[in-house]
Amino acid sequence: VTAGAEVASKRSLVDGPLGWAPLLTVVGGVSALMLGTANSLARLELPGVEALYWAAFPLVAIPVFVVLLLPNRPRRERIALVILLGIELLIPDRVRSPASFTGYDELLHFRSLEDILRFGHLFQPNPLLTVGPFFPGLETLTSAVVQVSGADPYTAGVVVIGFIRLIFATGVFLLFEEVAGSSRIAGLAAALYAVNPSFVSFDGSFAYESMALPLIPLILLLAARWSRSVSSPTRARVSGVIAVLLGTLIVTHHLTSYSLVALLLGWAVVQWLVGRRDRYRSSVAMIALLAMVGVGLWLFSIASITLGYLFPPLNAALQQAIRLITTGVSRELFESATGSVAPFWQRAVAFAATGLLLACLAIGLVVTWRRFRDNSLALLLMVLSLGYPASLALRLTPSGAEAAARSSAIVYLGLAFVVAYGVLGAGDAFRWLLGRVQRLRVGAWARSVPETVIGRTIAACAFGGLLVAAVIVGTSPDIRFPGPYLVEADARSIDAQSLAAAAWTRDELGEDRRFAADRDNRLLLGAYGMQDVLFGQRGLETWQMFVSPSVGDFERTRIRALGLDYLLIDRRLAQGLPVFSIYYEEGEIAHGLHETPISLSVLGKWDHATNIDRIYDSGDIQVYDVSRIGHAT
Amino acid sequence: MRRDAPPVAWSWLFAAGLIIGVGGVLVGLALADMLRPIAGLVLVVVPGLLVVVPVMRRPFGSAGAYALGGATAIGLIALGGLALNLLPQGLSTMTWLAYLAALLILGLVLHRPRISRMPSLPIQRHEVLLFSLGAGLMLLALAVSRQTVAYPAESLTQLWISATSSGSSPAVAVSVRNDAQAAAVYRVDILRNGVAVQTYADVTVAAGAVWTQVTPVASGRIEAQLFRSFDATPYRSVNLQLGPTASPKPSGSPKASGS
Repeated sequence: VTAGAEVASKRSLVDGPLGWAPLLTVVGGVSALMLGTANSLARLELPGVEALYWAAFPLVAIPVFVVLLLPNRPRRERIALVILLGIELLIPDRVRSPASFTGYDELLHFRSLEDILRFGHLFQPNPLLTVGPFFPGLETLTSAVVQVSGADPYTAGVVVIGFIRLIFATGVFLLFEEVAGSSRIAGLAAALYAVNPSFVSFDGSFAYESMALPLIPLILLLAARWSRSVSSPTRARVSGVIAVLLGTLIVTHHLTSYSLVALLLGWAVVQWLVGRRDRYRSSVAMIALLAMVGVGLWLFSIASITLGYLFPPLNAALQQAIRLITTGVSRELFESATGSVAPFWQRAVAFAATGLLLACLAIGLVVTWRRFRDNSLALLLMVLSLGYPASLALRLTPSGAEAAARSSAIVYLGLAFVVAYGVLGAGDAFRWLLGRVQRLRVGAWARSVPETVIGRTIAACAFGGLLVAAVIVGTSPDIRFPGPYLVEADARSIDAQSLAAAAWTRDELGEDRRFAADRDNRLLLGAYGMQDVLFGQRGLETWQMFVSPSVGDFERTRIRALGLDYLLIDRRLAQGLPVFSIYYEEGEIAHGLHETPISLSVLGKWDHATNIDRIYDSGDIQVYDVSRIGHAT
Repeated sequence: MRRDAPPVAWSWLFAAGLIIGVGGVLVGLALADMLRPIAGLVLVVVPGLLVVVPVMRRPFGSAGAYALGGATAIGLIALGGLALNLLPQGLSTMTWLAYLAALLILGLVLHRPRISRMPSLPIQRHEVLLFSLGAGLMLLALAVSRQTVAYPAESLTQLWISATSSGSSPAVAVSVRNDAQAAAVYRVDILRNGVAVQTYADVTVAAGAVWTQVTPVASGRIEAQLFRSFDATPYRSVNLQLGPTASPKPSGSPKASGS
């Protein structure tokens, strides 16, 4: 009561040291509630989902950006707002899967976490993601939380990711502040970083890059301070922390650690080009070398499997790029494998956002080039920002789109910095234009409102649009909301029946049985059933035996070669085309996407085969015991 | 400093814990599970924070010190895990607690005079209330969404069969699990080489319960069919080959522990 009276007696709720941040946290809470309600409505198949969902993002983004645009606001208020935005953007994924992990990558890592908890040791083979156990940073941290608190692994994972996001948002702000020397620019740039498509969903999932990415801005910040510091004690302390963070990054995620090495090497080159004028006097080449040695040691002594894991997707991207150049046939943007196309307004917003970012990038590059010629780190970020237009071209091929999505977390470090200056530059241009309009006595409305209010309102609304565009691009429309079962659609293919089947295998058959199944049931068998699932990435492909019309010699030979114990068949696969292109493995679409769904007779062929027992039936899902074939000598 | 609203010099860490804590209370027991991992996270990162934050405050300020401290704290866990992995006990509650205790002692020894001057954030009471309200609403959003997650679903019936023995004679064990929201009545027919050898009528299975029946049968192709009380067509069906060529039970080999 006393506290309430005190609040009521306040002159203003935004008078405190943190300014608008506490009040906007409440707005963020309302926005989160809208997202939670939208997801519940989607599950119940009630109307109003889209309106609630899409309104939730600008509701919090616009006021946050307005305050960040204001000059003379306290630094700590800006940091708090950036953190608020970071945490808020974790909510969409979590309210979509509030009881368990359902994201594809999340389940890959959940298996590694469960293995650490089962065996108490790292580096256990993960049949779903063979490279995963060699980068155990996230799972080690989460297992520590589980083991000291007794919490369930899902909730512990969510809390860990939340804490990491807090560090991430602060780290990005601090890096931009270091480069620009302005908390206003840092706040704007950090907010703009949050509209990168990966930040909304992928980089907030329970997966190794979510823990590795926040270390990049922090290591760059430390390297910057190390480079311009003249105090030996400071340098020693900073070096110690750099070593710990570098080590953490190396054991957490392969691609992110390689990206850091590239960034540091690039920075060292820029330093060399800038010469003595550079604000950062000491070359960061030594830190780059340290990072390179660490990465190399881990790669070649512990995680040599990584090369085999990374090469196929890179090769596929290269092949598709060559095909694009030679044939001119590109991927259809905003169209899924089932042929569903994003609504017009979503395509329009995404294209408008791209145009806006490109325009601000152009303005920002002019402004930053004038201002930062003596700042090698700023120049590095400017070069990095040029990766954005390049990544747009990558989106025209399937593997390129994947690469563009993954690289946006790094590219946006540069883009956000440059665009922040672009926004302020555009604001100056707008004020000049408005002044001309007022002088021409066109529109009395314009004179009645301070110029800056109009400009800031437009900028903040544009920021809201950028955030909506990031959600459109960063999340697949088929799995954006929960809902009825869809074929091979990750979260939308995970329901009570498939979860029950996975749990049944663990309870009744035991763990680590050799299973083959379709893409999403395989994921559940591995993550929740703790089975040893076999598929193409582990050597032999299985899709041929699943899509063939009958069980013949080829199928039996393949079962024997794989040493299979069981097959899991989900007859709902016949309901439609796979949302994520494949039923089983990539090989099945080597000569083009599926045009008709797999047939029920193909799925049911195992019922009539000799030496195969149908030991489990839940209606749509059956488990077949093929061990008499799989273990035949 | 105003008398009616004194700025409170709490550390960021403490303030964050309080905010999330109060928010959690607002949501109630429905989300009580969330508090346990938060406590676990605090236990895991605080020792690392104590080692790093005091020395990072001067060059990086409060926010920088805590961000770097937090990152280093989780780094010390990730790297510490590699070291614990070398122990026979591996990563267990005891080894983690011992490791965290060692970090805590290290932090206290290194920075004891400085810990009392941990960077603090002046925050007013009404701001704590607003942050708590916001955090509470976010947790409420999770609770609202969780309410409609129906695992298990309204209706789900599983039937399975396995080879077993009854005394010295071969047998099959047939099980039915009913995950509907109410009890259901079934009929189960056991067939050998296509001929019915046993019928279990009026099998009532409560919601969430499992019914299992062992039936001695001679070798052959054994099939179990499950019927709903109102339906003459089989609802679920399983089979296996029992006898000399029966399925050998796969010998799942638990993975060896150790790195």
